Amino acid sequence: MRAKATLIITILAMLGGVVVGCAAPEAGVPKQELVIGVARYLQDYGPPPWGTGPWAGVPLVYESLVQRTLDGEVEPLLADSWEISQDGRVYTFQLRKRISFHDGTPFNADSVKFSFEYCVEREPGLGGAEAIEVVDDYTVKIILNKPNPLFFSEMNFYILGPASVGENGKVTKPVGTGPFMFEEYVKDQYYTMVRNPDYWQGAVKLEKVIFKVIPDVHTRTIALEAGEVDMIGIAAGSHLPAEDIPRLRDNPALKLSEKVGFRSNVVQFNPEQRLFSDLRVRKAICLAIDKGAINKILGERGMVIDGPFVPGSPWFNSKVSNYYPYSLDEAKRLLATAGWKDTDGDGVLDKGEEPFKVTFVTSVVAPEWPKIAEIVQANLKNIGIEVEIQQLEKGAHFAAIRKGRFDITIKVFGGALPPVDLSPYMSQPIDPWPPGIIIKDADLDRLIDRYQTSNNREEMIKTCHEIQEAIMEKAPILFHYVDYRIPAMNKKILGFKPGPDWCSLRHLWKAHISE
Amino acid sequence: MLAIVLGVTVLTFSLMHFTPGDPAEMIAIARYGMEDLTQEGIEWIRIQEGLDAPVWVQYGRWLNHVIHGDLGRSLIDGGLVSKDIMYRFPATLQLALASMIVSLVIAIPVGILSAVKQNSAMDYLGMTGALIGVSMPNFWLGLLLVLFFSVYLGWFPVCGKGGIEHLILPVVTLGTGMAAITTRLTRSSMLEVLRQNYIRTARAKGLAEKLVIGKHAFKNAMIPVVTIIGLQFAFLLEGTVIVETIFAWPGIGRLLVDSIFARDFAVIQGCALVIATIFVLVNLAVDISYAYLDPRIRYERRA
Repeated sequence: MRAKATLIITILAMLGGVVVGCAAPEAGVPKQELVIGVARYLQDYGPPPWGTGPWAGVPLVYESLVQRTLDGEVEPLLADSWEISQDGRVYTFQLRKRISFHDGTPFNADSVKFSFEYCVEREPGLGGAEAIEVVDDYTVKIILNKPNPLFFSEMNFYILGPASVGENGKVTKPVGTGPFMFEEYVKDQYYTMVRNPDYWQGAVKLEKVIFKVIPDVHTRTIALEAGEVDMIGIAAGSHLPAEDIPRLRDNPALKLSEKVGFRSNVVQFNPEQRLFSDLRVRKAICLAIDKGAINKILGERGMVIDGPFVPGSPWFNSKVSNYYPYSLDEAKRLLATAGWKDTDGDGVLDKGEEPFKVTFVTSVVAPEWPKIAEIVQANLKNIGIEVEIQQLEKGAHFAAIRKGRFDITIKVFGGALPPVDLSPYMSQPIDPWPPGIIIKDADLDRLIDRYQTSNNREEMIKTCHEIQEAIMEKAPILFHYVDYRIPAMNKKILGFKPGPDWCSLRHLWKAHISE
Repeated sequence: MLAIVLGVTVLTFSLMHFTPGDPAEMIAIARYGMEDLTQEGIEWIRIQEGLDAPVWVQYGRWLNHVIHGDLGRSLIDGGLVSKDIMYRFPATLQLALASMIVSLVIAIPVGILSAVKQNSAMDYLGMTGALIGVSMPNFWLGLLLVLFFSVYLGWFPVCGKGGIEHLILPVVTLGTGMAAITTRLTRSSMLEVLRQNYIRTARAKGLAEKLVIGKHAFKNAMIPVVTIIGLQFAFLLEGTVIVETIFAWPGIGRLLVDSIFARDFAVIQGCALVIATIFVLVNLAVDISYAYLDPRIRYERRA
């Protein structure tokens, strides 16, 4: 008996030891400290060669030459000004002087060249950029292989200090010019940044920013409500769940920011599917979609849009607004003229021996995707089309899209900030990722080519209005929807306005915490 | 034993390569996010990480690492896999041990009492509790506990790893769920033993009831219970993805699941190796404990 008691005591003591041994570095909360709840841990210290990357702190440490505003305009950042040559192929940037990296190294044309090469090695395309030339200490030229009006949105590379890169060519220590300096990373728990005392744009008010890793969406919301984190819903992949938004809005201690940074998703037909080759059938399906029901499940998190542009900007063609109003009668009439009738009375249309049955392939890349699939399924049942939903794992879903193994699918389209990259609507997309709509249509190809290579804003807008009408009329898709990001934060955070998607935290240096 | 462990790694490796989806694409998304990803970026990763080689060559490379005593580097963040696992494993062990203790402290006394006082109010109460415990999904119980104890009462932190206060909610979530199973098993096993003739004999020769239950019945009833506890413990050591996710606990289960989604083969293989080894070792320990509980069980080699 005694031996057993000793054993139990030993186990308890060991456990106690483990617990004490792992005691957290409990932060005694100084005033200017901000805790942000994020879903993902740090994957790569470096700035992503493309996009934002899953690391939310990127725009705090690194900065790019230019930045884009919510309206899709371009503003100077590390570059003072720039000139675009007549043929649209050469971009000459004048760099800001007297800026240095966190380690004191001066920022100049050589550091731009170094960063450009780091990114181009990883992503050879980089907005069609072919070469970089150092003209003098503060002037660089980037030469494109062909004019690209979307250059600024595609070439958003970050400038990293030469000290960032270790021997193996990977970034081992994040050094940039940004308002915060990387401090510490405890894998899968948190990473911290401290203020850059010599930030070139002005005094940074926050002393420290802590990114706390909380993988579960609901736990993140609860952590905000309990006051353990000050801000959530700001980083890529850390969206607020739509169902939590009304509750957070009612909480007097919290505020929700305006909708920022949107990405567009698309629900499309498979152009190879025989059943959809008849335009009347595609139009009937578009008419049968209850967009109100989809807007309801998206809540404040998103909105169904007509075509790839968001209403409210000059780029949006108001003629396509509500192009396919919800009308079951009209949808049924179109299907009847296309020869689809329910002859055996089982509720499913048929033609000859063939019933109208299709599959909707989806995954949970975004939590709303399966829900949207269910609404489409219910909507199409109303007009006698049977939809089978196949919910796959992310990798399998992408593989199915690429191999054309779907009838209807949902996927990420790309950015929704104008000018939107419309190449996925071409028969031969310039970049095969994400896989395009692949509608083989010569008219559309010609229009998009004109839009994507023009260097005249007026002409681009005019062409994209034509493209929007053509897309609506040819109906290769069921609909687009935008995906808003709505950061929620504690009311004590003042002076912070989130930027668009890829740099939502860029203006954090202006923020401070009040009493 | 070595064969089992090796077999498991071969199986994981080939299964991962048969899963649909392009690993280079998934790795690119995990590293840099889905926005503005390009095919060229994906191809760069394919070549950098040697994913263009045949599967058996890739397995050979991995095995070569293992022979040389390390587990390679993660395809996502380039960190050493052995370091990743060594960092996560103590967290998992801590959670597993604490939950196991909570589970046993609840399950064994309640199980024995329910059996001894079969069909009493105590028995019904215990079994109803066990039924609720078995039926309550972890993710729901976890969130309820957080809402009540962290948000309304503010007693414990919502999530994260730290001092003992961080441990309580996840341990209660895991421990009560397991206790429910162990309680039911202890009860039924005790009931069966209590009907045996040697118990009647023990009582007939006038042994105190305490001794009858504690020494004769309990020890014999423990064999199936130990088996299930061993299995539960092994499962806990493999990580409890749901609880780790809800409470942001940096355990091995989440590491494995994240790696599977991101097709981080090096980390998946490392985890598979460690988990297979743990499973084999725990089973060995369970087998050895049988011999202690029931001296009739012997593992000697017959001549």
